[in-house]
Amino acid sequence: MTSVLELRGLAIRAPKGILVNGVDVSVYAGQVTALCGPSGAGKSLTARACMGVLDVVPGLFGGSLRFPALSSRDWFEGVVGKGRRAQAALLRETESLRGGYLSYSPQAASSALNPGRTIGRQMEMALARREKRVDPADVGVHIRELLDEVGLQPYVASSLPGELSGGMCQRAALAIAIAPDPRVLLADEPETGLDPVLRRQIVELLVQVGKAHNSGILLISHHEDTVERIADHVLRLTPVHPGGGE
Amino acid sequence: MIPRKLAIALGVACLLVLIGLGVFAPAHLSEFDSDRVYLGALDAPPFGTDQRGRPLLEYAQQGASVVLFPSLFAGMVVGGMGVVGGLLRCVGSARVDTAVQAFGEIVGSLPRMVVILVVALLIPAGSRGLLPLAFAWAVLASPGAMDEAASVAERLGGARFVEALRAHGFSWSRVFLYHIVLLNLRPVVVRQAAETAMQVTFLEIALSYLAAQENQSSFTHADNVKSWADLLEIGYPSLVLDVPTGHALALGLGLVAVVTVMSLMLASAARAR
Repeated sequence: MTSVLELRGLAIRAPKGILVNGVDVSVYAGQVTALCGPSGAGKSLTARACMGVLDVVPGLFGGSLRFPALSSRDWFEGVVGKGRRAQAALLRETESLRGGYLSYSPQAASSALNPGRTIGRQMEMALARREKRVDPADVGVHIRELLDEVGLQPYVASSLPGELSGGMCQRAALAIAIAPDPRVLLADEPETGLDPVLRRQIVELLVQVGKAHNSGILLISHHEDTVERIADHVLRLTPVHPGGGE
Repeated sequence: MIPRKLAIALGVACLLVLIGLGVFAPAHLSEFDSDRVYLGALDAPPFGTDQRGRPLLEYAQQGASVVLFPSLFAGMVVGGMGVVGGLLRCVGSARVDTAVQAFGEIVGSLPRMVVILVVALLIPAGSRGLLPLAFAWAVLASPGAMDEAASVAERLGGARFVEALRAHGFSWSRVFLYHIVLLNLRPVVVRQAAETAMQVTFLEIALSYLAAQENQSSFTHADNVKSWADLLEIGYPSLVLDVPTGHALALGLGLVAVVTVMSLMLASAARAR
């Protein structure tokens, strides 16, 4: 098993109290690691810590984050417990990883798809972040392949997000997330707001597509049945502080 | 809906017409010429003459010079405030939202025309001009622009949208300037700016028309300068009396139409895609 992300001893504190304490997460290439637990358990905070986009204000966090497929150093090093400045430093530090090594499929596709740009243009921007440069002449082919992979017709490339249904938006968001061929695909409750049939389809599609690209998938979900069915590794979080967390 | 390229072409063409008129405006009207009184557009091209034989083109040019800079400036102020309102909503801070809401409620509750008249009266007679009035109008209009832009930002997802874009690896400047302002706030901001520019032009015409009717100096320009309101004032009697000034009325209304078309076309051109 090749580890692509290792988070050790994550602790996140806010003025109200401790939000996350001592969480360890490992994500492996081609496998699904699920983070589950009730609301307020810190699932989304943990996911944001993995992406380096924590928004705890004024945030205080500790632990170590490593991307073994990239380097052996700790990405949290030097920014532990310094609040807003540390948050800004971490954002800068991890910026080059996001959208390339690390990709994100959000809770609601509507908040990840830019309503002012066509799906095809957004996929182009995601393709540009591939480690292996895509020939501009082949961009159209790659877009059609990716859309086909997530079960969408080629015409979707020229559509604005507002012209698509909820399920199609979710598929388009997945196509954009997978476009840069990420080592880690972070899916934050991708089934939110979908009916049970579509929910199952989207999650299975996510796993299928992620594995086809040999990406390690970090799936956040509060649907135990989904997690039990598809995850290779399951991490259950419990709330540390009442009312804190997400 | 009008095709985007056509809307851009029409909007820019109208803007260029106004800039062309304003930039080449003469400082003073031509001398009295009793042989050319009330000539029509065919006899004294391009727009005919007034009751003293002076070309109406000079009225159009001077009127454009009066409204051009203040109306564009007011549009930019409102557009800028709209951008600020949208971006502040994306910050996701309750304190900032409260401050913006308080600003909107206080400024939005002020009676706009009363404030404009107070500002107009506060300006010394020797330094009258449209610019302070345009600025006051822009400040009074800005809560609406900020509120609308904030609603767009809210629909995008506010701070969540910013976070999702950050998660996709975009820098702060790319997230805020490109994804939020250029792609999403642009339609609202440009429309609000274009509307404000149009409103300031209409404000100038209204104030100057009232002043001309009362034989008083206008709040918006010096006495030696003519406004588009003077064209309407010269031309209006042709509707009710047997006075040959219909060409002045047509020119005045035509210039108002140019400003209206410019505003509508620029707003239309700024729509998404």
